[in-house]
Amino acid sequence: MNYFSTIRNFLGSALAALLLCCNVQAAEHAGEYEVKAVYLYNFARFFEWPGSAFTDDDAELSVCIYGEDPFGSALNRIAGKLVRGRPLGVTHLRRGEALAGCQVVYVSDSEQLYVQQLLAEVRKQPLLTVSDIPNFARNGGVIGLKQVGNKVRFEINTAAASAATLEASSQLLKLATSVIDSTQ
Amino acid sequence: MRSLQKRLVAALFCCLAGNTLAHDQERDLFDLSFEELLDLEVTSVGKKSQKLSDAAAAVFVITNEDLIRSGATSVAEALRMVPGVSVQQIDANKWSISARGFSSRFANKLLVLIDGRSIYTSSFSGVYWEVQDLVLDDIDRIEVIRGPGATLWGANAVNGVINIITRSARETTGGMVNASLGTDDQQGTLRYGGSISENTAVRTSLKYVDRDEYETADGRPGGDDWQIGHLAFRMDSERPGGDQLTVQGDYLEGRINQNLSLLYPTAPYQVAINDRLDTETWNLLGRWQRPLSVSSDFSLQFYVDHVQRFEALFGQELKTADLEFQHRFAWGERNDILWGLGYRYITNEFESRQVEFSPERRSYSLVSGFVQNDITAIKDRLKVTVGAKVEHNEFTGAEVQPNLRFVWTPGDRQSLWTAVSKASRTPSRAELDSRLIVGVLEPNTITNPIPFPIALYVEGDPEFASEELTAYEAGYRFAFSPRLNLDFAIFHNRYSALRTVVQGDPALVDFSYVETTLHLTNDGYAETSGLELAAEWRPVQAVHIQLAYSELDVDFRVRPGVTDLENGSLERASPKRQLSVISGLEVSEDLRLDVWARYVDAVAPPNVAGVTPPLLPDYWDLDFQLSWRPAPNWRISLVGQNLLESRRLEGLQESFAADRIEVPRSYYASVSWSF
Repeated sequence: MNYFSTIRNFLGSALAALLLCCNVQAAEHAGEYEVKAVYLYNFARFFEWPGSAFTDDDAELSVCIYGEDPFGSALNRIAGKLVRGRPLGVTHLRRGEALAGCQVVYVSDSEQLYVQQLLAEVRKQPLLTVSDIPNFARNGGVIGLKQVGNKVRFEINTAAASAATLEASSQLLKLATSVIDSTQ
Repeated sequence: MRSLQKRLVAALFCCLAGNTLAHDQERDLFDLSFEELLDLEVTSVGKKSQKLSDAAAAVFVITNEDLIRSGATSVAEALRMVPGVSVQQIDANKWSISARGFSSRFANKLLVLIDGRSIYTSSFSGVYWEVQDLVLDDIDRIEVIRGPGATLWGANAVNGVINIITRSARETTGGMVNASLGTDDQQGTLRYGGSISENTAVRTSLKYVDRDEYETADGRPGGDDWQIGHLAFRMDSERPGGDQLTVQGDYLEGRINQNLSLLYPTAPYQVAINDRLDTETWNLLGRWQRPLSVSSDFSLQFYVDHVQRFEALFGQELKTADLEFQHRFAWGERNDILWGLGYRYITNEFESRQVEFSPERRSYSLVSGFVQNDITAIKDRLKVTVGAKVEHNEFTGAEVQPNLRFVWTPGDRQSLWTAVSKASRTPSRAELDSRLIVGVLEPNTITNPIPFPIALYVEGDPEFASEELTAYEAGYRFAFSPRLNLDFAIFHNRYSALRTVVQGDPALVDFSYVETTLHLTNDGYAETSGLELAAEWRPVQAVHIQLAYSELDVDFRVRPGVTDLENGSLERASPKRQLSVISGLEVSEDLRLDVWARYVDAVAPPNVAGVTPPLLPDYWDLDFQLSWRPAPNWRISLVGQNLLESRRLEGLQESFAADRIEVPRSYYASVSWSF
């Protein structure tokens, strides 16, 4: 047997094995923001908005990204999905832009400094506020995401939700790592 | 052999089957129940590329993870992964670090900040890298901006800004112990942090580094061993109204040895000594940031910084007090305005030795104001940044440093930017007030046939002006996929009033030697151009490849009729080409291997005294790191650095150096335990 071809075969299969195996590992994990985008979709499913939150029965359910967008193309996959008969729409808002017309607002990390001001301003609007910013739910946001080990978990503030006239399904409350019932 | 192949084929099929299953799973992320989603493991693919995609400047970020992966034992070493930045280690405790050309131990066109505190030395230009000894794990990220950043950061941010940002005390609670033992250095770190109230966290750390001496090309000891002790603390507090308060400080003490060549105009002309440099630095910084509305905030920062440094060349004591105010607000739909005012008061006092200062003590102030507007010209597509900084110093007056930047984002995945900016480099105290001997020609020799020795002195000039730059830059960023990002930049820089060294008339002093004074003038011009490429690729989850490549061309000229003794040598001071590739492989959950390959083109370090510098040859080198996490709170790593050669002459100091010292191959083992 040719010595070099043996080595080449061996290296070739080793490389292929390595790549394929690694690929499996890659797929078992999912990108942080791919998963978080699907979370946004799921949160929308588990909340109920008052009819007054929408302009009409055909209006889309608008997911607004407030500040720098960490999702990239991951949001394209939730746009158009149907939630309670309404298609999800995705809108980007710059700092300071009005949140009227949004139903779900993801507050980006870039707004950390302004988050208290923002929450005070939108407290009674029918907005489902979601953020990665630490202590978001404790500070009056509806849902705070947090990473526990390699998993994404969430806290929910029911007082903030009812101030926003939103109703969370009991199933969602069971899945939350903690349920907060106060707005500071 | 055959059975091995069979096993591989079986493994392949296994993997293939697993692979298709996994693909289905990925496709159906939406069909997972919420419970299943919550149990999914996620990976963060560095947020940095996405965050940077709309910056209209050539920015590279070294994250905490990159730092750990690199195996670097200091910030200086880690900077080798940045495209367009040249790092040349001169001896065990000296580095020449510069961006886009003009490398030198006293590289004066790069501004370096640690948490908003400038560590650019006003006395001698440049940065004393050896005393910037941070606990690497405390660093959140190092932002490296190539090109002028003067509109925001002020004078001396000419070729680049390095912004070292440490982690908030809230992110470093608990304890950490690290010990590292190597062929050339020993280090130990203790850190402890915790919350002292619901809103406030503190940490404190103590680090000790003991580095061995290197060797000269002919195998003699380099006499450059050194020890540093560093005590640091940081407190972060977030008030219920959203106010953020940070107080931090450092105390550092160092004993640094160096072989120096001291020169005298009369016999014995030249004396080589082993000098022990003693240094002590401390600083204290406070920053208060308050949100005013959903789109405006202000911040107020104050720091004091004290550096004391005594060596055989000269002694120096530098005191700086700095106050900065910044206010950001949205104006109408389209404008995001940032403006600020700054005041800095500097006192420096020198002790004349080989380098003499006159006057020895000076106190002066620096007043500055800037405004910058980020204009959204077309929402989500085109952003225009326009701004200027005016800075007044007592030597060269007001420096106006404007810039204009455009960034066009045609889609989610790509952006194109371009910028024109002006920046100036203000004179250092050495350039204004110092006098130093840089060479002696002994009498009755071929180079000096007359019976008197000739002594060459470089003399500063209180009239020395600022060096000026106009920079043209452009860049393109493209995310092929979440797993592959490219960042490409090109630049063309035009410098004027660059420092030149011009020979004056000789004079006979005391009938014992001829004194020739070299004067500093602003007669140099340069054009530099280059390109820089950074790429990050994760072909699969377990593989992470980071590539940096850069090219540089420097063309230096002097005003006709002027003979310059120094700067012609700056043309090759930085390498024309550089490549860095870091490849990381997660062998398993708790074991990873990182290999770092580098190519650096030949360099000719600059020289003050008109001596033609040697051309140090180009080189390839290789580092590796094997790290193992037997438990989540334990990390053990083995690192090899500069593996391809046993020793290499990598850089030279422009003056005073007694020896050419080589950087050796080295190994170290490190253990970290968190609790």
